[in-house]
Amino acid sequence: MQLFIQSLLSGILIGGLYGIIAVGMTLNWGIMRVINLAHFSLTFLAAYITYQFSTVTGADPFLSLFITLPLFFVIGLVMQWFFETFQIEGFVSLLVTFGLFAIFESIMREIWTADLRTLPLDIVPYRVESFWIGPYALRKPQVGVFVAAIIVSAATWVFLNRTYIGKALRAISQDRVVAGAFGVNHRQLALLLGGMMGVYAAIAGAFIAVLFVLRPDGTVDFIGVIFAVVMLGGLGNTVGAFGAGVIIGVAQSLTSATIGPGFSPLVTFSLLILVLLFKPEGLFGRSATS
Amino acid sequence: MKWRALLGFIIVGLVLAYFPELRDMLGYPRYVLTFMYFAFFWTSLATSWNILTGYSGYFSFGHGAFYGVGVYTTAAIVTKTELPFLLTLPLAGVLASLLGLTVGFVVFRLPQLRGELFALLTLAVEFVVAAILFNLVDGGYGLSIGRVPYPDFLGDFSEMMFRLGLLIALLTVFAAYLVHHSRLGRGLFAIHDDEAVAEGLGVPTFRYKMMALGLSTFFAGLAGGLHAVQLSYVDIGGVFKLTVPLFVILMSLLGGRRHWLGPLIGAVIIHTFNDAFSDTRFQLLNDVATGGLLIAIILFMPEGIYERLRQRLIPAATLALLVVVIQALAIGGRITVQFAVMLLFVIALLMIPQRFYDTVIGRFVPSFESVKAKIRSGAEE
Amino acid sequence: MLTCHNVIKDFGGVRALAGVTITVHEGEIVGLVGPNGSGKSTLINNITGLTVPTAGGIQFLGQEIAGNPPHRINHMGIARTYQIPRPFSTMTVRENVEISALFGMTQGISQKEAKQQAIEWLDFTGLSSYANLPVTKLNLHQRKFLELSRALATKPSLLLLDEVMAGLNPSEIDESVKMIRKVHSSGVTIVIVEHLMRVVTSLSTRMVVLDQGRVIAEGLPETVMKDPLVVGAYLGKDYA
Ligand SMILES: Nc1ncnc2c1ncn2[C@@H]1O[C@H](COP(=O)(O)OP(=O)(O)OP(=O)(O)O)[C@@H](O)[C@H]1O
Ligand SMILES: [Mg+2]
Repeated sequence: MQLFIQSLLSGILIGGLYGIIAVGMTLNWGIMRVINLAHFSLTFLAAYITYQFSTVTGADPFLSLFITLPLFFVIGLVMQWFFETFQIEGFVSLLVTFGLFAIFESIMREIWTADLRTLPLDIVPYRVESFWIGPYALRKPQVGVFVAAIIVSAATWVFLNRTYIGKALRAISQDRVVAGAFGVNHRQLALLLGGMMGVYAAIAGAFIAVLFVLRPDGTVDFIGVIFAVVMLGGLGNTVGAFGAGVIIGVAQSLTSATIGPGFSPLVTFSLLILVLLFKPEGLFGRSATS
Repeated sequence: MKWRALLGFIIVGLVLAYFPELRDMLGYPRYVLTFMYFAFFWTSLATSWNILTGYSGYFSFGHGAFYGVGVYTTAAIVTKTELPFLLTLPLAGVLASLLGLTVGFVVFRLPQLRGELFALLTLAVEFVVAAILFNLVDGGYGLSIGRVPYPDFLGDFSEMMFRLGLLIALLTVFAAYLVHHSRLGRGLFAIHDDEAVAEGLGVPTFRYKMMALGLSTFFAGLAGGLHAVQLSYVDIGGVFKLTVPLFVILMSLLGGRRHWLGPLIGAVIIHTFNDAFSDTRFQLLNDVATGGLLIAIILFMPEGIYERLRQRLIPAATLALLVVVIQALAIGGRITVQFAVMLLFVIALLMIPQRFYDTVIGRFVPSFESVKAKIRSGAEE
Repeated sequence: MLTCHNVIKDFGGVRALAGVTITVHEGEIVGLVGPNGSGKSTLINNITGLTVPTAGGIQFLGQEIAGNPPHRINHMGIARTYQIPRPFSTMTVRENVEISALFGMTQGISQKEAKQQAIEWLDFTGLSSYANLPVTKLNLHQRKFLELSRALATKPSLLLLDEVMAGLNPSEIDESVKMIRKVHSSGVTIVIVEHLMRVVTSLSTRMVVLDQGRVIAEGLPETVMKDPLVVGAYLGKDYA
């Protein structure tokens, strides 16, 4: 029982990380109709840069955000500019970003080699520290990512629903032509959204650098999870992404604890398949919109 | 027409099957046999993928799942029983096909699962299969196959792989040819364009999609079964890498999905590139170029080489000849590298956007079709 | 020949068909009319199996067909055209028609025969000079005729025409009227959906009027057009 609750708790917390990555995916797909596989690569690139920053300077990895946030805003913007210029969306975007994904992976393998990389404990002592609730441990970086996820998805929700620019973005996701007729500048908004994707990647990357062992093909572990989260949460639904992230996180950690860690990808991908088959609109409905 | 084609395939097969015998006479190094085995392997994989995706438009990202089932069927049986490995090959194909049909039986009933959702679903299937095999068969240690016994008449190991690889590639390409020219193929092309309309005009779409998927996955499993022996040691991480779907997609897109020869052309080209630039110094360049080529094809040559080549045959052939001669006389180097460089030039020519091509090159060089038409009308006069 | 019995079709909250009962007898040309959104296309979709009725039954030649896959319904002898033409976009004009010749009612014909038949049907609809062009080269009126050739090439005994004449000019309309008469005299039963009253009333042997998913009138063209309910449906209640 104690094991059960313990894994439930860490599942919920790690679900926050999935939420942050998925918010980027779901917005790009829901609003710009770009299914961006390269988002995984950007996230990992951010993680590696965070790692590099910390190991070279010895500073706290989260300080690297001062570099990665603006850097990835620009990278995301450039990437979106490329999609816009060549009108890449829908199925074609899946193919094109598959190509980008392969390119990023080989670049990361070239720079950081296929070796496993972790931040040393003397830089991130809090990696192994926990808050305690009775007998249950809440690992500090996991709590951090969960809090960050709440802030990110709440901020995104407010941005989309309460600001003029956000409303314009939602208008685009519903009907581009009509939105254009009402003076919504599609191109500028797309670039802005691209930059936001980069920011999400940078944030998620910083946490991945702290939480995980890095390898260039580690992205693959996230693909199924994040797509399951995106589909379960409903396309373009940022709050749904967060909720679905928690659900998948819990499903994963419970499987690992009860059946064995080898079965955790099995559960995630089966969940993805089930959602695609029976609930393609997601548990929480499609909406950056409604 | 079909009998003539069958004869053609048999002749090509026999001529190629004789190739290892000619090694002393032609004096080529042994690695050429392995090089060609890999070309056959990729041809089988890409062509089998194309039977479903190219013809019907259902874009699978999960071809690696069926290839992987083939690899693991042979690997598991050979390591755990005394069964001769040749017998495991058909079984590898059948098991992969059964998996494919099971997936299809569920998925093809759901009209919303087209386009990107089908792609995602097949990708998920690949990971599920990998996870199941990891837990049930592999256990994280991989399977070591080593040398397997086989009948003597197949020659030494690389000759045997060459011959079996050739056989599977021929079967796959012939199947693709037959499908292309049959009712099945016509129906699949109609499904590709508008499935609902096709169904309304009498095309039994569900059955046809199942047949295409069944064939496609059978040949993927067959090629995988043989490849297990080539790999000699298999593990989940290696077998289910995303390079398999990436490469079959790239090859088919490059060669052209609409024609049975397209994936073969693409497979030969991509394999040549990979081999020519396999030197570790070029590793990064090669990987980046692979991804970049995929993007470039989608943006600048979505119909693939086969179609473009028909329109630009004369300038392409001239350029190819020029590059070959210059290299042979002035530069030299390994033959596969020379071949790859020539291909690069030709592809670059083919990728020039149509509008640009028409105004610059097309003005001076007539298209092959138009030359043919002129000759024909000249003959009539 | 065809009986729709109390067919209901809901789309989410919208009831597109609210219990439609219609019979089509062999040899008729039934004019199916009604204001925009009254459910004519939806009815055709349900008969051909493109969508499945929420409730109710559809019998063709004495067999229940509701819920059957469309290709089987087509093989039993029902073909249709689409209001907005939907040609196979990567094929040539002839290849489009070949598909239906190959897969329609008379199955098991060879590809050679299918090609032959496709050419004949293109001759019939006057498209033969475009046979080898990609369909993208056709204009609207040619695309509508391609729809017709494709439907005919499946050799139907019942043909459902969804606004084949909308958007055509007067001479093209006359041409298609002649064509439909010719098809009819070759023994095909026809249901024709059309907004051009002049054409429908002259062509059809009987008319059925739909409004908001219900049959509001049925009978000979002259009498139906005078029915106050029909006039009301088209012009608003005040004119009734
Ligand atoms: N797929 C669908 N989803 C939701 N509503 C639909 C769908 N198809 C039709 N409808 C609704 O059903 C009603 C009937 O539409 P239908 O197209 O059958 O009308 P129609 O009589 O053919 O009109 P028109 O003369 O304009 O072609 C309309 O209110 C339409 O909005
Ligand atoms: Mg209509």
